[in-house]
Amino acid sequence: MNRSFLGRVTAAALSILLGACGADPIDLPAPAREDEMSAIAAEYESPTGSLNPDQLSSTAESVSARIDDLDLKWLVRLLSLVLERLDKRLDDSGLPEDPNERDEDRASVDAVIDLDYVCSGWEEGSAPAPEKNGSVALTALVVDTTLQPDIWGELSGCRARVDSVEPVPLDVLADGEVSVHLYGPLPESELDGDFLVRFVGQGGVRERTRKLDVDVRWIDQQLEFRHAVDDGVIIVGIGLTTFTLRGSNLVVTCDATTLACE
Amino acid sequence: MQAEPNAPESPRPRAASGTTIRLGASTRAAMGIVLLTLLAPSTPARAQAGSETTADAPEASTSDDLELGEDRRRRLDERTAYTLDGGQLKLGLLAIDYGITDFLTVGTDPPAWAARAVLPTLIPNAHVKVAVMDRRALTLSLRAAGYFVDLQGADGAGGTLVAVPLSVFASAPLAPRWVLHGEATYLFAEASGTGNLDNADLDGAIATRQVQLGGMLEYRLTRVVSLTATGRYQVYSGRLALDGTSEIDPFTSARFEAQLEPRVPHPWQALGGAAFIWSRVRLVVGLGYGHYFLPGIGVAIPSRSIVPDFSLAVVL
Repeated sequence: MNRSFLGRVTAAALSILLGACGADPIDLPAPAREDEMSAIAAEYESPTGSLNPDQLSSTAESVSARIDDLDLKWLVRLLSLVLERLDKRLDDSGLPEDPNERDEDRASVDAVIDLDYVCSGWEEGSAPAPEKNGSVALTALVVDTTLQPDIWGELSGCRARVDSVEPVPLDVLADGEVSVHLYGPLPESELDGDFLVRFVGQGGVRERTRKLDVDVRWIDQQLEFRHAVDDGVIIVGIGLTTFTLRGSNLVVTCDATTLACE
Repeated sequence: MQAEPNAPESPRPRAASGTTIRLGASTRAAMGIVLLTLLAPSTPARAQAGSETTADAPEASTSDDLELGEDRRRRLDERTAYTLDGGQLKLGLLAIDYGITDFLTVGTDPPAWAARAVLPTLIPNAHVKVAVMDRRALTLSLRAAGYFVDLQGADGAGGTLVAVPLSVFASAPLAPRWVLHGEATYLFAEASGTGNLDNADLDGAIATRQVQLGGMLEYRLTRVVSLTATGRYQVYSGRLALDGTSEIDPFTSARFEAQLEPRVPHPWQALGGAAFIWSRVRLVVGLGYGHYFLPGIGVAIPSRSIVPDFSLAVVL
């Protein structure tokens, strides 16, 4: 080994490496149904419909019937379960978990995370069986070290058992497209988070699955949904014994049993 | 112009304050400290009398014994093209080096190992520097280093980052007291897996593909003391890609594709300082402004501030 030989070898290695001009940029997909989700989120923030003080009781009646009919807490619980795992994945990689926060003291990161969750099935303690129990696929984006609030994906024949306020857990079956809009950090535990969910497909609790095209918002530990009125939509918030009606002009609270509003 | 080794003794060089270099206030202050310490080298120089090529030189500096190219043992070897002598061992804060031959030095960077104290990962590293040309007028060296970062996260989020800075150094004596050192560095970084990016990120100083140019002008004040003016600029910043699949739990897996880019695409620094090269001890102190480049690997901290320069080594 002499000096000129070493020099030639090093120069050759250097020229090869200098030729590699860096990695190709990753292809960041546009969030599916992003515009639609933005429009829906805007309506939850500022309802377009108004409440007529003279027709509160009839509005309360129709809303009460819809609450019984919708019964969408399963959707929030199922999504919360999957979002928890997404939170863990981002945390494991040192990526941000809150769309409202950005760490300035680090290198700029762009990332695409495709999460696949095999649904747990309706039997306790069963092993992962994607063919039998289906799955949930979600895609999340990190752009310039900021988690993007819109997450989207698909539920493919998902059979899952989720907890309920009832003593008996809910056996859920869902198949369709799903979009999530985050208002804060991803949930670290069940229902610990604020997000809007839109679901288009077939879904429900075991025997009561049906075609759905719905959106619900889980915020401050309360479920909200949009309810159409003559001049737009109002927002209904479901409490334990009451529900609230939030219109562009008025907010009232109604008793879930008597339907009296004030 | 290069002076001949047997040329007649030149007139005593002018004091640093008499040169035409424009020095900042901090550098002038540093020079004051330097001048106060000028008496210190005489003792170690005498102590090393038997082993030094300049051991018989008179106490007063002359042009001859200030010729850097003539005294290998008094040449700066950090950020220059110069290598250690064969058999020399340098134990330094920034580098532990061993001269296998006069033109081949190998070593490792202690700071990267010590980063374990603040980072959740160990960074094994090594470097080799070979002088491909060592003439009086020009010394040319190539340096290659390798840094391995384990990006291990929790529950299957694993990955690795390999960073390989490749540098070309050129050192050329311009005049009996002046040496110009130039450097071009390409940092090749490759990551794999789905690991924890925090392990590769120290205040944003991530190792991505980048090209840096550096230069140092050295003015030899005495046999022991040199004044230095150093600049560094990152001309190109690439991105670092990372992808893979990990399992979060038996029911959940995630495909992860990410790319990282430095927050500051063109960091720079300008430093003024002094180098003290005693026979057994080498000390570099300096101060400047700009972005701090991590020693060895050369990646820059994104924030701009006062930049210290400090290196201490014992040569055996």
